[in-house]
Amino acid sequence: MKDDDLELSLQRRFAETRRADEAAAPDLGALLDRPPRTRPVPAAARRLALAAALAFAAVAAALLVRARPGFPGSGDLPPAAGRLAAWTSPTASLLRTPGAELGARVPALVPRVPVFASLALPQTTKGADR
Amino acid sequence: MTPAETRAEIERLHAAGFAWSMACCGRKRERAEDVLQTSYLKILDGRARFEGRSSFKTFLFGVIRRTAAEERRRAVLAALLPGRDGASPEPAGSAPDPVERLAFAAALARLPRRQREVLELVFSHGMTIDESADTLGIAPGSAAAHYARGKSRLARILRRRTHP
Repeated sequence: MKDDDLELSLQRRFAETRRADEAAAPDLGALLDRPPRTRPVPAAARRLALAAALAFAAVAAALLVRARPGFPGSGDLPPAAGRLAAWTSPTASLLRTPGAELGARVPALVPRVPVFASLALPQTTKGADR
Repeated sequence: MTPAETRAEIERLHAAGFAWSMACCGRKRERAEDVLQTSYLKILDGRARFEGRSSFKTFLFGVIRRTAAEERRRAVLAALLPGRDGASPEPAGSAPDPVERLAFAAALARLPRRQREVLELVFSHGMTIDESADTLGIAPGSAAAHYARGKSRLARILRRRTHP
């Protein structure tokens, strides 16, 4: 079938379908005046949909809480992690050298100012009347 | 647009609107009537407002398409519990149709919905690709692609029917 033939054939068939549909159109006034034929959603289906939505929300919330960084879940660390953290090398004592503690704290560079208030001042005797 | 003008426009497009509603509802007459009534009521009581950004026909067809989609979703929900208070099954088709028209409707029903809708709007309702894109709320490029694919697919289906 050539493209023009196809186009014409489709136009003809669609036009026939449309004419048939339009001829069967209900009266507008009657359509607007009749009471709306609502199709209520069954109460059980509504309850089912609500339960499904609640279950989905609960699962989503649980997944969010678990995915939060720093959540202390039991499965967060592998079992070997604790042992690895507590391990010390057998030669670790060799690393302890004299004065090593100086590196562990901030040295006080300015010497403390002595408190002179408690000291008794010398009595001046020169040129004083006795 | 005044309520009287709106009503006059609806009256002018009523037959075409019903044909489009039939297309959106899988040619189920009862459902098409319900969809059309709901669409008209939405427009007349102001729930769907014509802003004048397109032609009134494009606007009306868009409202009908959205209402049909809502009805489909409602039907799916009701079908979750078959045999309860869900909708009763209804016969497809309007009047006793000639065999060829029924066969064409069946071939059309085998297309994906978007392709079918674009073809209906272009061939049945004389819309351009751009107008049909506006009615369906999709990009003109997408509508053109749906049109081309739908047309070639429909031609294949019809050819297979005549030359099996």
